[in-house]
This record gives sequence, structure tokens and C-alpha cells, in this order.
Amino acid sequence: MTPDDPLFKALQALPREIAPERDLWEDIRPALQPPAPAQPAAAPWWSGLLAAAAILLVAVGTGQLVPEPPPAEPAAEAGWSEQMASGMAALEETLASHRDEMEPEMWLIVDQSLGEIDDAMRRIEAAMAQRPDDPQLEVARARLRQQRVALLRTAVNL
Amino acid sequence: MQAFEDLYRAHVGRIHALCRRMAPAEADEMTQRAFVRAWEALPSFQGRSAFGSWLHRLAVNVILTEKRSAARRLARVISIDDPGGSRAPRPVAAGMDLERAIAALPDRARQVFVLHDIEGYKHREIADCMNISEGTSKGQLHRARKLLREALTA
Repeated sequence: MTPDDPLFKALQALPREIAPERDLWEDIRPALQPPAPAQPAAAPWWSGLLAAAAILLVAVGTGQLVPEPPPAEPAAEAGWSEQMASGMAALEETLASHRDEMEPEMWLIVDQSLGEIDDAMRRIEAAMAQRPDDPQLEVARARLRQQRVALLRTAVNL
Repeated sequence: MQAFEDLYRAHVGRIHALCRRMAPAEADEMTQRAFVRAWEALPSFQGRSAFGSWLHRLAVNVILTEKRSAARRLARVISIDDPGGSRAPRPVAAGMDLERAIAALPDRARQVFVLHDIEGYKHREIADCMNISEGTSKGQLHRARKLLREALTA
């Protein structure tokens, strides 16, 4: 096609975007199913942890990934988690205040990653209810909390 | 969910334009399906490409898959050799603008034209996603342009 071609000229004038005549979101939203809860038999408790870690890698990028924290000692867990809880709440508040400034794509990744971590946390806590003396579960929970804080810190600085 | 709604708001114009040109009669439905499919496929989006490009490619696949399924359903009822391809084009009224002229093209010619001349796909890419040969893609593009020129000068 040459620039003199009437078809070429007509093509140049076509709009890149066309808004639907009605708001389609109202029909889309009910069709969006939340992620199905994991089946214990099909997914071991630590699979959520792995998924969270994988998405975390995507979210923060290898160049920005915080160093892996040392395994938490169960004895230090109680005091440490209190500090963590208040720090995490402050970070969440900061993130919420920056939410409108973030690119929607980045917000989606952060939101998804937090969801994955929270899902993994729920599975770990369910496992802890059944095996309260399992030290590995304590360590896994502590690591997950550290991952959550690292993700929040990174997201706040985006 | 709020994050996904934000993405919907940011990209719906672009996706709806694609759907309206590729599948004029089902544009709303295809737009909805594309976003639902995107939601389902989100875990596979790893941020390596722009979200808009990923979504656009996904929408093209949704449209072409739906069209193929519809053609198969039709083929069970009536015998057809080339769905949309060999069908006589609907008549094009004089003075019709380009959007309406595109909508009046035979299905396959319209899909190739939209992907190539509007969306910038190469014939190799079109051949891959439409399961046709590059030669067929070129032939359909030639046919579409010819019909559109006739419509624009009518």
C-alpha cells in the first residue's frame, strides 16, 4: 500500500481504541472465580510457600531481591513477630497510600504475590494447628513473614 | 480484584477495538471472554512482556478459537469447505465508512486484514495463530484490500 492509497489514508484515521457502548465489567466481574483452595492431598503444605517465592522473584526482580534471611529460631519467634506485625502494618499503610501512583500492572503483581504469601501462611498455620511442636513449621512461618515484609518494602519503594 | 478492574479500565478500549473489528457481531462477548480468560491465565503472566501485549495476544487467540469452534459447530449442520473464506461477501453499501466496510468482509479475509494492516502482525505470525499457510494469509489480505477499495470508492 502506498501513502496515496485511499485505503492507506482511511486506515491511518482509524481509532486505536473503541470504548464499549456499555460497561462490560459488570458482566465480567461475576465470572472471575477466586483461585480454588488447594487440596491437601494434591498439594503439600509447603507448595504455597514455593509458589509465593516464585511470584516474589517475579515481583521484585533478581536484581532487587533482598538477601535470604537466616532461619528464625523458634524461641525468638514471639518477640520477633510482634515487631514484624507492627512493621508490616505500617508498610501496608504506606503501600495503600502509594497505590494510586503505581502502574496497574505492577500493583497486580504485588497484589497477587501478597495473596500467594497469605495463602501459604494459612496453610502453614493450619498445619501448625495439627503439629504444634513441629520446628520446621515455625521456621517456615517466620521465613514467610520475612518474605512478606521484603515484598512490602520493595513495593513501597517502586 | 480491584487491581484487575484497573487493568480492565486501562485496556478495554484497545481490546474492544480489536474484538469489534475481528468479530463485529460478538464484540462485547469476545471482549468479556478475553478478560475472563486473562484472569484465568494470570498465573502464566510473568511480566516478561508488557501486560498490554500479553493481553492483546490472548484476546486474538480467544477470538480465533471461538470462531473456529463456531465454524466446527456450523459444519456439523451444513457442509462447508471453507468457512467464511469462500462465502460471497455481504453487499457493501455506497458511502460506507471503513469500519463498516471491514465488518462486511468475509470472516477470514477480515481477520487477516485486521491482524496485518491494523494490528501489525506479520504473515508468519498470522499463519501460526490462524493455522493457515503464509500464502493463504497473503491471498486473504489481497482479497480484503480489494473489497475494501471497492467499498471505499463505491
